[in-house]
Order: sequence, then structure tokens, then C-alpha cells
Amino acid sequence: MAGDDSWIRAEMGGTSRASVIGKPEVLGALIKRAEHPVFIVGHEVAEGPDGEAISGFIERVSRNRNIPVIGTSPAVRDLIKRGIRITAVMGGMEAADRLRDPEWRGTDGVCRHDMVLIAGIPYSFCWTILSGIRNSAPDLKIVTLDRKYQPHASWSFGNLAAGPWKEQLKAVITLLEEDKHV
Amino acid sequence: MYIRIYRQMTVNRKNVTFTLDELKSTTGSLKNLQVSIGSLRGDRWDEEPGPTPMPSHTDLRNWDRMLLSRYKPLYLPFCDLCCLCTYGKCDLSGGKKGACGIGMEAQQSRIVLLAACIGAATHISHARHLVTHLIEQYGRQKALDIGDDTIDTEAPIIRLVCGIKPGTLGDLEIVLDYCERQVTELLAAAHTGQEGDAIDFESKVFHAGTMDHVGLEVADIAQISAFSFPKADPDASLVELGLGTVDSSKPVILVVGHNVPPAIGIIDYAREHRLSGAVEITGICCTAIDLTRYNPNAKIIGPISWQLRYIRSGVPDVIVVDEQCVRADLLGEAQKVNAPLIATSSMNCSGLPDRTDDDPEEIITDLVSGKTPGVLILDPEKVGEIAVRSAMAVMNTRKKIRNIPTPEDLIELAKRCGGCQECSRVCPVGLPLAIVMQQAGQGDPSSLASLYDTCIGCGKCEDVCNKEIPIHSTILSAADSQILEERFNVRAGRGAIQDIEIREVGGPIVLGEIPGVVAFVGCANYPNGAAEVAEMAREFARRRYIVVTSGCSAMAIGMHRNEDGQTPYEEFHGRFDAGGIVNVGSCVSNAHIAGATIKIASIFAKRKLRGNYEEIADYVYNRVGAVGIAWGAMSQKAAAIAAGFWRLGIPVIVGPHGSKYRRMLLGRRDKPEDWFVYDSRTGEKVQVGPVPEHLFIAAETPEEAMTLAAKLCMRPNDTSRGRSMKLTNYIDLYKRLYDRMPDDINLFVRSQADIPVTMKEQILPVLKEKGYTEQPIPDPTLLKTQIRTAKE
Repeated sequence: MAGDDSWIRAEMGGTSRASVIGKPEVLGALIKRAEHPVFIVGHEVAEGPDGEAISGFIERVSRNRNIPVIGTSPAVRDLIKRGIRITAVMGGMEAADRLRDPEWRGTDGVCRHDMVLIAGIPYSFCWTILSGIRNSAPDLKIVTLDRKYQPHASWSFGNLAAGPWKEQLKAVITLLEEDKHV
Repeated sequence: MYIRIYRQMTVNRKNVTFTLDELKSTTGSLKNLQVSIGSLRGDRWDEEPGPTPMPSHTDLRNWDRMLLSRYKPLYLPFCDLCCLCTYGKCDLSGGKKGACGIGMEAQQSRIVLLAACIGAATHISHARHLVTHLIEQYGRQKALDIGDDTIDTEAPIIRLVCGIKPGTLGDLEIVLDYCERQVTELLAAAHTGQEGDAIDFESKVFHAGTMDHVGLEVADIAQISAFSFPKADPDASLVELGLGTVDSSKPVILVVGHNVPPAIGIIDYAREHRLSGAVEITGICCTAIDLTRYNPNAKIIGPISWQLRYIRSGVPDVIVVDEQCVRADLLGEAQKVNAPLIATSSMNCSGLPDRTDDDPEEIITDLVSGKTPGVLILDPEKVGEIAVRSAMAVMNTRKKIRNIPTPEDLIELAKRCGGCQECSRVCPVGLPLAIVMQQAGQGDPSSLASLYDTCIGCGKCEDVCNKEIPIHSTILSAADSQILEERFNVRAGRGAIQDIEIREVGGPIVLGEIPGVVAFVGCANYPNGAAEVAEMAREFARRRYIVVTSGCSAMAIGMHRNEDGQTPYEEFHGRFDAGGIVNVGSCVSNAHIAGATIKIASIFAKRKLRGNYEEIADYVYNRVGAVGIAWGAMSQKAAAIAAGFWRLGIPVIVGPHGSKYRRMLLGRRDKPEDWFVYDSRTGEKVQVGPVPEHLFIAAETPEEAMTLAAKLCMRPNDTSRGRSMKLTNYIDLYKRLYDRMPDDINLFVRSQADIPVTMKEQILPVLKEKGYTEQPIPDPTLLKTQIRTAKE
């Protein structure tokens, strides 16, 4: 399958598209360079065969880099069981609304987030949230972590099979935990 | 010569009423001229006229802007481009403007306005079709009666918006004249070079919603009155629902759409010719609901998404389509099963020859022989004859031919699947079609069958399959036995809420002691099947909310049994009272949901209705804890219905697909400065917390929707006892679903008395940690005009 076309065929929003995360070093560098990133995690993280890989990634990276996590759904129960520290619970739309506000000081009250790492939100719902953030907060970097290409993000994985995607996630964890120069 | 006219008003061109305050010309002057031929009931209404009878879209602009300053639009552009004129395409992303000067936010709100106008125009034209037809049948003087002696306030929305009290079918024409004028103006505002401000577009969206609600009410009170549908009857009959209820040994007619006269023509013809027991009359979508309001022996097959599955089953012998929510490809689908199609509406002619004036014998011969696959007949009575006689004649020749593969063929078809996943990539629900198809190809179709409940029946998967697998039909084949088990009961649409019911629940609702009114409305574009709607409805009914429903959602609720085998309509009562599940009827019956909230202001609180929109909306917003859940909202009509509720201050929650309406109206609970009201007794500004927090929001999961709904039922006017009950439900739901305490309880506690006694030990630590401010409970209003002792 093609790597960088919208997973849902008709969802082509405009003239600009997300850059593809082609190798783990790219995602690692993005996370390292972010000054105040935040995870937004939807209910699909707790479901299905992909759930373990992505929830493991969020658990390790959020701890390692001290990144706050917003849970958007009752799946927070399962995320907590998987060791993820949830900083705040709010719906995906509410989170998007906060993120567009330049005066919002983030879930931890420190300062505005400069990067959003999104995972586990149903594809079309995520697509509209990304479109909202992209258009109302163009200075914010948005990275999607699922294995379906999201054109409205700043950076997205391409459409990947489960195996290569899991390998990339693992490699990013290693890079960040070893704090290698990336 | 000069003519000068002062304060001229033409009220009514159908019943011909003309009023002229003063006219001066060189030849003389006239004062207080009144000409009336026929009359409008509104003229005899002794209630003092309010400030905004038949408002234009700017008359309520201040109210709209007040709401929109609290609930700021969050735009979710579905497309960054504007393609509406030849300047374009224009890319509006990144702050760029189009060649006409429009920016992204205005463009998005413009598209929302277009959607709302399409929706409102559809309901209003539906109402016009009905009223015109009924006037032809019964005359302009046919009295409106929607509740015998149980209802005095028979048209609360029309009274509120238009400032008239309609008494006859003829009066409704004047109301429709007004709506049509307004929608035309709103549509004009979307033209290039007109409105350019996003918030003004949004105000116009609200106005389109108000016009939509008026159109809904016109349509339903006209058809209830003329067709003797249940009149505000909480014990309306239980009717049959589901594909398994159909006796396919008989000739079967399917009606699809929303405008019921052709379907009623079928019922009447069968009855008059003693064929009622010989023919099965079945329906899909709102026509089905209205059909069962007319004749409880008719059968509802299911919501909009059941069209392909039912037609492909081969059971219907003749297919009759009217207007709205009819698939554009039904003629082709009908041809595949040799079923003649009869189009009956100017809204949907389906490319068929107009045979309205032809001899019925000739039409039937042509349909039965297959000489023509279908006909257009614009006479509902004639449709009745043609449909019944054609169904009886064609049944034996078409032999219920199916367009669904046999179990053996299914396996062979599935073997073709190469796993390219193109089907999944067009599936709105994201079903794992390729994976289960390959399993079926290996001889196990059980996973394919399991998709039946979540498939929305769009058929897009089939169009993209390069192996030409009829994917939707293979799901139907795999789930064949389940389909035949679809036998449920749903309560027929009862219509309006009785005045006495409003009197009895008005106090408990306004004081918060009934925790809320939750309305399940809208289409069947569910993210995960209809069961979620049924479960949500059950949850709120068990918690003693008043659950109201309509249209496809009303069907969805009926399609799921509890452990005892009861559908929710058998499990819960149908009164507008705590713990009820109240099916008001079809899409147009949504008027009775809005109408009930208005009647609480009018009947319980004795507020004046006549042309008094702002005051009543302010009352509803601050006092009536109502919220809508349109879990599968799909259409522009749903957008217009929602807009009408927003302007009344009633929040609406949609499912995840609802985010494609491309804008939310969200409040910010973290900004206390946004949540002040006036205490109308003193004029003091009082902080009341984020109640209700949002006006329009898409939820990701049903659990999120349920906790949101419980929260959005809170209102500034809640008594401590009422707030305590609402908090109990909110916290209890949240704890059960999220396994933790909500983090915003402190925003809803105004005094120790608000804290639920049984939850004190859990809540007090939260309040201690977060702090809260003791606040008086005001007599809340957003309107300075409602302050009795003005201080500002």
C-alpha cells in the first residue's frame, strides 16, 4: 500500500500534507527537540493487536521524557493499568479547543504545549481534530503515532503494516532511553 | 401625486388579511384600514404580542451573539479550499484569504450555514408538500387537533417564533410563507460577496435552525390532525419492527423516505379493497414510523441503513420512494431483484417517466411486464392503487429473487479476496473487511457475519473492490439467520407532550429534581452499531431521566432486548415523566421535543410565548436541563435540527462522525469569567459555573457521551436538591465508566447543600484540594431586560 496517502481514501483536505516519519531517528529527534510536548491518547490504544505496542511506547516515553498524557476516553482505566500516568482527562474536542488557545498553560500549568503526540483516536475523528488544531494553531507541531497516514498532522507514519511500525516504535524508545544523539 | 404609507403590514395573502395604519396621498388619506377575508386564529389570540413576531435573521442576533461569546466555534475544516466560485479554487489554509476576501473561519461557518439551510429547506418543503396535499383533501378550514382535550398549546414553536396561534391547515400556509422567505434570505447570505464574518454566519445558522423547527412543527401538526395519528398518547400501540416480522409469502410493498401520503394511499387502497390482510406493507426510515402512526399493522423494517439489505433480500415486490434519505441508486438495486420502483415526489423523480395522468391498467401492465423499471406518479391515491395491484401481480413472476449469494457462493466469492484493503479504506466505520473476507475464503464466515451489526449499509466497499466481490451482500449472506431473527416491538410515535404532563414534570425539571431530559435523535451513521444508542437510552431511563426519541434513533432503541427479552419500549413507560422512553415519532416530530421545553416555560412558568423568543430561550437555557444525543447524525437535516436546539440553549452531543459537521461550539470550564448570569431579582452578576459547558460537541465513545450528557443537564437554576441529584448521576456514571472521580466537581458545587449526601466522603477531599467558592443560587438570566430591579 502507498505510504503517504490518506488512509480513508476520500479524506484529502488541502494543499499541504504531513511529512512522513520514514525512520525512528526522525521521531526521536522531534520528541527530543520539543520543549513542552503532550500526549493525547484515545480509546483505541487500549484495544486490538496494536494496543500493546502503542501503549507501551506511551508509557515508556512519557516517563522517560516527563511528558504529560491526556486521556480522551474511559480507556484511561486500561492505560493506568498499563502503567501510564494520566495527567488529565478530557474529550478530544475539548483538548483541541485548549490547544488552540495561546494563553492555555497546558495540562500541568507550566506553559503552552509546543508539540502534540496523538494516538488511538478513531481515524476520521482524529482527522477532524488534526484539521482543527492545524488551522487554529498553526505554530503547534502535531505528530500522529498510529500506523495510518494522517495528512493533517505535521508528521505522521505512513500506512504501515503492524510489524515495521512496531519496530520503529521500539527503536524510538531505545533511542530516547539511551539518549543517543539523534 | 404622492403616496406615503406609514406602518403598513400585510399579514396574510392566503386568507387575505390586510392592515394599514395610515396612508396619505394627494387625493386623500386613510387611517386604520383593515380588510379581512377569512381569518387567522392568531388574530384572535388575546395574548399580548411579544417583541419579535416572525423575526428576521438579525432580530435575534444579540441573543445569538451572547451564546456564541460563551460557546466559541472550533472549526475543523473538512477541506482547506473554497470551490464555490470561478475565482477559485482558493486555498484558505495558514491564514490565507480567498480571492473574494473570505477567511477560513468564515468559510467554514458559511458551509455550516449551507448545510443548515439545506436541512431547513428540506423540512419546510416537506411541510409544504404535506400542507398543500392536505388542503386539497380536507380544505383550508380543517381544524388542527393534535391532542384532543389534552393540549391547549398546540403549536408552541409557531406561537413563539411567529407570534400567531394557528387553528387551521390554512393558517399553516402563512407560517410556511414566512419560513420560505427566511431560508431564501439566509441562503442568499452565503453567496460570494455577502456575509464575511464567522460569528454572523453562525447567527444565521441558528436562524436556519429556528426556521427548521417551525417547519418541523408545521409538518407534524398537519399530519397528526389530518391523518388522526396518535394524539399525544403515551400508550400508543406497540408496532412490529425488523426484517423477521415480514410475511414474505404475501406480496410485500416497501416504502422509503419521509413524506407519508403515498404510503397512506397504499394503506387506504388495501383497506378499501379488503386487501389489508393479503398484502404486507413495510417501511424504512421515517415514512415507516409515520405509516405505523396511521396503521399499527404496518411494519417498520429499520432505519435508513437497512435499504440495501432489505431490497437485496428479495422480499419486497414493489418499492415506493418518496423524499429524503432515499438512496440515489435504489432504481438500480430494485432492477437487480426485478422489483418495480414507484417514485412519488418531485424531490426525487429518479429519472423516471411521469405517468401520473396515465391509465392505471397501462401503468401496472408496464411495471409487471418489466417494460419499464419504474414510474413517477405524483398522486398519492393513485400510488396506492398502482403499488398494491402491481405487488400482487408481480410477486409470482419475480419469485422473490434475491441479490445475496448463497452460503456456498459466498465462500467462492471470498476466495477472490487478495487482501488489498481498499474496502476498509473507504468504509466509514473502518471495518476490517479484508481480514474477515480472507477468513471467509478459508471457510469461516463467522467473523464476516459479526460485522452485520456495525455495518452502516452504505455499500461503498463494493464499488472499490477490484475483484468484484459484492462485499455488502456477502455480509448479508453470512448473517442470514440473524436477519430473520430481527423481530422487535417499538412504540408508535405518540406526537406531542400533553399539557398535563408538562404541568406535572415542569417543576421537577426546572428545579433539577428530575435530573434531565435526554433526547436521542438523528440518523443511523453509528460508529459501532445501533446497540450503543439503545444502551445509552436504557442507562438514562434507569436513572430516572426523561428519555425522548424520534426517527432512526427511535428504531435503534427498539432493536435491542434486555436479559428478559424486552425491548426498551416494553421495559419502560411512554409517559413524559421520569424513567420513561418517549417515542415522539418521525424526524418532523422532533418539534415536540423542542416544543416540550418551550411549554415548560409557558405552561409551568407562565411566561408569555407570543413572538417572545429571547425570553423563552433564556428561560430554557438557564432552567430546563435538556440535552440531545444524535449519535449517528449524518444529514443536513440533522444539522438544522441541532441548530434549532442550540438557539434555544439546548446542548447537542454527536457521535464521532458528527465531527464532520466541521465545527463545534465549546465552552471553557477553566475560564470562570465566562460563566456569569444576572440574578433577575437583584441585577447582581453571579458566577454559576460552566452549566451547560458546551452547546455542540462530538464525543469519541458512548461512555464519553453519557458522562457529558449527565453533566450538560446541569443548569444555573438547579435547587440544591436538584443539583445534588444531577451531581450524583454525573459522578456515579463517571466513576463507573472512568474508574476515577471527575476532576471538575468543584465547578458545580455552589454550597455544602449541593453535595450528594451519599458521596460526601468522596467529594469533600476533592473540594478541599481544588477549592470552591460559595455562590448563591440566582434567578438566572442572560438578559438585562429580565432584571426586575436593574442595577446597571
